[in-house]
Amino acid sequence: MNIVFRFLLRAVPTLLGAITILFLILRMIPGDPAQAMLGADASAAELARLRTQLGLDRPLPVQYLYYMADFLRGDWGNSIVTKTPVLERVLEVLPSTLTLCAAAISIIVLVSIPAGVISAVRRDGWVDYTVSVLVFLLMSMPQFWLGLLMLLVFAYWLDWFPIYGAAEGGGLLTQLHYIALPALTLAASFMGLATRLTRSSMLEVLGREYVRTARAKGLTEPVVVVRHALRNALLSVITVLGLTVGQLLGGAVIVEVVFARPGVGTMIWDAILQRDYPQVQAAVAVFAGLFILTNFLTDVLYSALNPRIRG
Amino acid sequence: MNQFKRRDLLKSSMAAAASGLPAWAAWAADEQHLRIQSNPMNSLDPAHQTSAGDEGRVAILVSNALMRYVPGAKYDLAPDLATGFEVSEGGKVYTFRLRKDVKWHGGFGMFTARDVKWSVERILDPGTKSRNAGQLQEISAVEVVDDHTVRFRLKGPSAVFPHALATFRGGFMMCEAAAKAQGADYGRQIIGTGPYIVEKSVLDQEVVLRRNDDYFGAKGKLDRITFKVIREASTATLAFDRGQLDIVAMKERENIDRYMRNPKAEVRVSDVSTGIFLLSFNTAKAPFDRKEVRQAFQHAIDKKAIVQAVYGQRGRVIDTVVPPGVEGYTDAVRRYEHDPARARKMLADAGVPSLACTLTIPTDYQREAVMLQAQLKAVGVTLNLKMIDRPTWFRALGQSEHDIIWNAHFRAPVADAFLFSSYHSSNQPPKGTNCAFYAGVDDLIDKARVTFDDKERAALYSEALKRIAEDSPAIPLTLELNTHVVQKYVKGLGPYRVPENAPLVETAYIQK
Repeated sequence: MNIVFRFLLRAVPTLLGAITILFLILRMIPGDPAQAMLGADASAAELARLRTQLGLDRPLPVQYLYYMADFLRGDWGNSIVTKTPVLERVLEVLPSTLTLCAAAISIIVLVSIPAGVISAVRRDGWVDYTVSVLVFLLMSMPQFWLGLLMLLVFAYWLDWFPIYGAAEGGGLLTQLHYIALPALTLAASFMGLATRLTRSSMLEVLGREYVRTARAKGLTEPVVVVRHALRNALLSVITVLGLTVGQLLGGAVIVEVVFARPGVGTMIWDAILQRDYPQVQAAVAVFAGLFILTNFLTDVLYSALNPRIRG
Repeated sequence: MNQFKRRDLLKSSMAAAASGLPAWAAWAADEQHLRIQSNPMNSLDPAHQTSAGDEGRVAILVSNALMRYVPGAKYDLAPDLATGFEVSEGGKVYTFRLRKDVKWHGGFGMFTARDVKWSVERILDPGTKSRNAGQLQEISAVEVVDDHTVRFRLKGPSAVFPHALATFRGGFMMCEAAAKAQGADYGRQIIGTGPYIVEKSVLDQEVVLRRNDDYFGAKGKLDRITFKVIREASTATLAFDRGQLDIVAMKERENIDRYMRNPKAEVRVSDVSTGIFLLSFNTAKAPFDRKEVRQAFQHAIDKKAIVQAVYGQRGRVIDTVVPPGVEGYTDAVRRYEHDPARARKMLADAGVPSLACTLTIPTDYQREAVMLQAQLKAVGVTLNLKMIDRPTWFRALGQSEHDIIWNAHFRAPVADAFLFSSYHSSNQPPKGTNCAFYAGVDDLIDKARVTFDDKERAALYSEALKRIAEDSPAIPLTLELNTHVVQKYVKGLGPYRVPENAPLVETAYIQK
């Protein structure tokens, strides 16, 4: 009970702050939905009529109060462009984005942690150098470009993967087949970060006295590395992974557009281009909520893994 | 096992994993299935359609209007759901006779005059919040005379009213019974009368259509048509090259040139463009209030060089402010050949031997902007560029701050649609988008609107075009010609048609 209360105490103001900032930023971009919908040829009368219909003719503070009141009541409104309830649309495509992020995180964990550990153990050896070079290469590539490169090499030249879309139904293999390239692209830059982090905290831990003690007890090297060193080194890695979830959600926008995958990312992309305020607000509010939730879960996990702050 | 074999094995196991799935995997082997790249769509509901190109291309396969445009480069109206109409009371009353053999998709019964009344009134109802209400605003009342006759009463006489009921945005007919049965889903699962039925509709991902074997007209040859939303052009290009898409729209000159040399692809270029790019002068501002200065700019600009460098296949030089094919179009207007020496002399004669002015232009047209700047520099004009994003540009078109502004007119193929909003004085900003602040053809536009003799009306429009070319409130630069690359195995693709400005797919079939 206590833990839920603490969560809400932190989450609610953060969420409200996030959507307030978003509300203001959206309205600072030039052009409004009426103009975006009617295009270059709109007459002043047509624009005025549509603005009235959409409630855009009211002063900004009034619009804000109405929006917040509706938001808190759970009425997030309809899309200006498609006229359908915004939250419903977000929830419809959210699973696709979450699947993509989960796949990306799995790749990060499965690749980065072993790579980081090996680099640390074989410090300054050729494995360490190779991993370092790869890591910096991945970290410095823009996602957009990397996505196109992946398409070119693995989907176009080698023809191993489909170029666009997402699996609808089908078994696990089919799902993996469709999600592999987008997930890899999304994971790439974070993979670098996580590898570096695992390596440096492993190095730090391996120099600690209890590791020396463990070795002195005559434990085998794998037991020392995995049971004693890695367990402690993972604490900081988990914290950072928790934070990257938020960035993964942001990265999903680009990746979904490049791979033509359905998801909240492509929805935000379209909605921003059309200045569909309610739709952008709903999608980003859901992202913000998810971000706050994962941060909270990271905290919980951290204290579960770290006996020193448990209690 | 060598490298090559291992790769093949992997490939076939991947393919097996994906078999039986839509998108890139094939449907039943012998099915006629065409896959077309699309931009995201907002709504197929005529009340909320925003683009005649992206949404209209699907809508015209699913729905019908009372009138439609004949395919090809003459934009004549032909009956669609109507069989004909009579005009009475001096052009204030239109009576349409309707076909009797039209069935709604999904077993919703026969199409009747009541559906027409309901469709039109629904769009005009402020409660619908339709962005296309403006298209039908001339209508004051709709009357059902009998099941197959419907009468429109207009607020004033209009000779161009039937265009409002054509296959353009708000002109498509809807099924009253279906809309009531479907409720909020109506915008997605459109029930129409057209040659294809909506099978799946996720508008920002894909729309799948299936042939309507009960269609009253010529039936389609394709079993299925998929419109696949791909926003990123490079992704679409790769998918086309891998045979995962059959028709892709192309914008970049370099890409088009590449496909011209590709033996597996055919490049199709539209001949029915209703989109032109032009430069509009602010004639309310000195020195552009003087005709001689504007005409000097006409001579200074080398349109041909711009079209060749930037547009290649998908552009054509134009000298009129309406595209060819539109009623009243004439090429017998004053032309200004590229002649920098003459331009320089005209500017000197006008007392502005050196001039600095600003071109307001969206960032999308940077290449054009730079060329214009260089061409004007050669005649002593310093052109400063004010590069803005699209929404800001939309707004600037309805304001008066610019000296010269980049303009794009993409309209229904009707002379009035081009001339009234951009050259009639009643539409000068802030009321409208006549951002040239021109007022020289008001009499002709007004008279054409109430001229019911086709020849006479066309002559009035021709006269307006000649006068505008002489006065030069705007410099027409190029026609935008939609360009698509099509797989060679797609046969029978029809000509381009307005207003969707895409090739007809009703007649297409696949032969590999």
